[in-house]
Amino acid sequence: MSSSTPIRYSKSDYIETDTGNKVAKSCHIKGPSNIVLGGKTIIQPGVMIRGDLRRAGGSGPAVVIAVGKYCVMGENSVIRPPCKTYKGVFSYYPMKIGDYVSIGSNSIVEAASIGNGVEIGKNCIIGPLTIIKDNARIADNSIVGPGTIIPSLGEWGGSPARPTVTLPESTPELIEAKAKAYYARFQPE
Amino acid sequence: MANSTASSSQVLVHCPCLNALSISRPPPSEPPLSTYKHHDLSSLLFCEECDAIRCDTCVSCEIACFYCPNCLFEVPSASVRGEKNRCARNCFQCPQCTHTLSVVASDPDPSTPLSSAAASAGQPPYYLSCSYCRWDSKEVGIVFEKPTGLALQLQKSEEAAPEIVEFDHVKDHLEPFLRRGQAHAPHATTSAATSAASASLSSSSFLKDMPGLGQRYGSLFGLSSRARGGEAQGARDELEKYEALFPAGGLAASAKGKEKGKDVDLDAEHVRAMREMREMEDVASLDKRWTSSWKQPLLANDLKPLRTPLQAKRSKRCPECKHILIKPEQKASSIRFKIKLVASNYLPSIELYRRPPATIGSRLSAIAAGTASGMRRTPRTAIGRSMNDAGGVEEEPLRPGRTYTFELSFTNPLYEPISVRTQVARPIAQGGVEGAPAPFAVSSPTMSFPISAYAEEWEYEDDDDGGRDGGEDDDLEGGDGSASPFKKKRGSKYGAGIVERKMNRTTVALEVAVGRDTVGPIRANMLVTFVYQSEDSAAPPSPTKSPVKGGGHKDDQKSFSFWTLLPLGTVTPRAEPRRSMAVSSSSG
Repeated sequence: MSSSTPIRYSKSDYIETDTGNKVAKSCHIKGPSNIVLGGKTIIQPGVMIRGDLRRAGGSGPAVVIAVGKYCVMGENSVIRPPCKTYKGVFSYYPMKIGDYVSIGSNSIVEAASIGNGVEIGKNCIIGPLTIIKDNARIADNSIVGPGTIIPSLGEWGGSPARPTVTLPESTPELIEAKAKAYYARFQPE
Repeated sequence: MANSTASSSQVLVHCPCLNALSISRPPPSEPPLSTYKHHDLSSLLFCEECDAIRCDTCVSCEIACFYCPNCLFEVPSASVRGEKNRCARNCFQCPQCTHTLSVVASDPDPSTPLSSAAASAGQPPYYLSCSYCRWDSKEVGIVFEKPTGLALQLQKSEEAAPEIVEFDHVKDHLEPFLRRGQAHAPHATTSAATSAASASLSSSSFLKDMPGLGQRYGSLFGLSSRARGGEAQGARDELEKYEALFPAGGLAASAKGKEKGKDVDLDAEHVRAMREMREMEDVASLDKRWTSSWKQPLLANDLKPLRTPLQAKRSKRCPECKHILIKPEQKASSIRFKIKLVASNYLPSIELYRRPPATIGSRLSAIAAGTASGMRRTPRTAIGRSMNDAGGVEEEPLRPGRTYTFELSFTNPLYEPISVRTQVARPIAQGGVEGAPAPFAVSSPTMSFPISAYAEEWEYEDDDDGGRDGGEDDDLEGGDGSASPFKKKRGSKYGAGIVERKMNRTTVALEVAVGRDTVGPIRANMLVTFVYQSEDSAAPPSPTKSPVKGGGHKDDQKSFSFWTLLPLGTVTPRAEPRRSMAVSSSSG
């Protein structure tokens, strides 16, 4: 398909919010009051988002998962806040996802922070408390070990993921344009 | 690319790499020759001064800053060498799997209640542990008293290691020789200034770092420093005999021997270990031995944790005029650039898309969907397909002897309208056989069309929008892919061959007839020439001068030409006479 061809979806399968988020009805969103979507983010069918896994000891609303704008969560991916035991207390830690982030289908993400314009491939496992900097890319079928720090504009792949190449300088603009174009193409029937 | 689907692909752009561009002779279109010169537009740079495309292989690079990829600490270049290009803080890599090691404490007394803070905090000694493969540094006897300043704690044991002492000894031995070479190095650089290639080489930090290289191997690089030198050169070449501190081969053995106070035969030890060996993994693999340490242990359980190697941000210069094309910000985590001249801001981006032939299935569904609806093509079964998923859709291969219609979408990044002329080169026969029939033929090799200027989305007028849908309906009725787009009235709105003009994007159709005997991937060379108004000869983003003049233009019109490579697809002869999806998807 050419890049301007619309990708059609059935209107009854998705909920569209005021800020333009399109969330598939068949995805599993736990603790929705703890999840913030930045707008124009697409959540595909079967995605699991665990907003209920919150910091230990708190009460009332808290931001557990913050997602930026123009993000895409691929089918059946799992977004789960990372956890660890610190000074005898087991706790979950909030996860922040930047703008223009795409997460491939069937990937499991437990990162602490994902920068802007990050592309995560299909079937990846992003270990707990990983930090992915802006415009990094994770190749398909990669396993990023716990606590890895991935610098900006780096492409990582393999198991455990290691740096492969440095992405070209024009990547930020490219990713932003692609994310916006994808949202524009994603239209109801 | 994650959100472009299988049947649409970016056209690759050719970088002439300092050679003059030839309009009449297309660059090689078949790999391996084509792979090194054709790049995605997004990875190319553009030099405004030379008005030319530059790629990663022809620019000259300089290191802008060093940083540790793990702690993102910027290492001052003065200390990089002393720290042997590795992070001198708390970053270590697992010798087995290269994952970053984390510092963990030993388990506390089992009597401590599990819910207490002490139970999770642990107690000294601390050690390094890999959370990926479960390796830990206790295996090689490395433990720490406190969890901070690990590199400093390790340094003491590192400095005493025989291999480090030996290396420093070699460095000390070579230092005076190198210094002598450095004193005479300017000769080489000045005499080499004539040729551009050797000048860039001699001015590069490569030769500065290795001063003797210019004199000794200068002739290999085209440097002519032969004339000078004379006696001095002979003296400089002389290097005293080196005497090792430790005997060759017995490095580890002598160290071990010293420790234990007796001579231990390392070979005998290895033989004994190998006799008891049950698994291949017990032997350290070659890459681990070569990259992972100064000492090269044979056994996997001798491998030591590694300090994380530093990475560098590079600034890039034009090889011709030395102007900076890329200058990154010093901060390690920043993705901003002080200077960034990328080709995608200067050249139109081109996207290639093969129009699917209308199969029986799609005709039926088109009828079902109704002609007036927006369903112009085979409806996608997976509604709301993920943008990452789309790459998995198998493209139907091309068939010999058939004609296909491709659409080329040009997008103009410039703030002024441009007029484009494309010219598809005559394809050469496969395998370079003279007189053989061409693998494919393009119906209208030359096309000219305009593209509007780039502007923000709301600045475009609405009336362009309906253009495509009007034309598409009769495309459906027209049926199979062999119908010519030029015979229809569709082009009439914009001109011959133009499918659509929308904002700063113009789409044209290209008809390709695949030869009867063609097999394998086919690629077409296409020359793209675009003409634009330059209102001010010095104003960016208009390139100032042009190496290739589009003949017969006024003075204020500038033109630029570049070669592109269209990956048309792979031709696979039909395995069975009957067409079925199973056959078409099974071939690559």
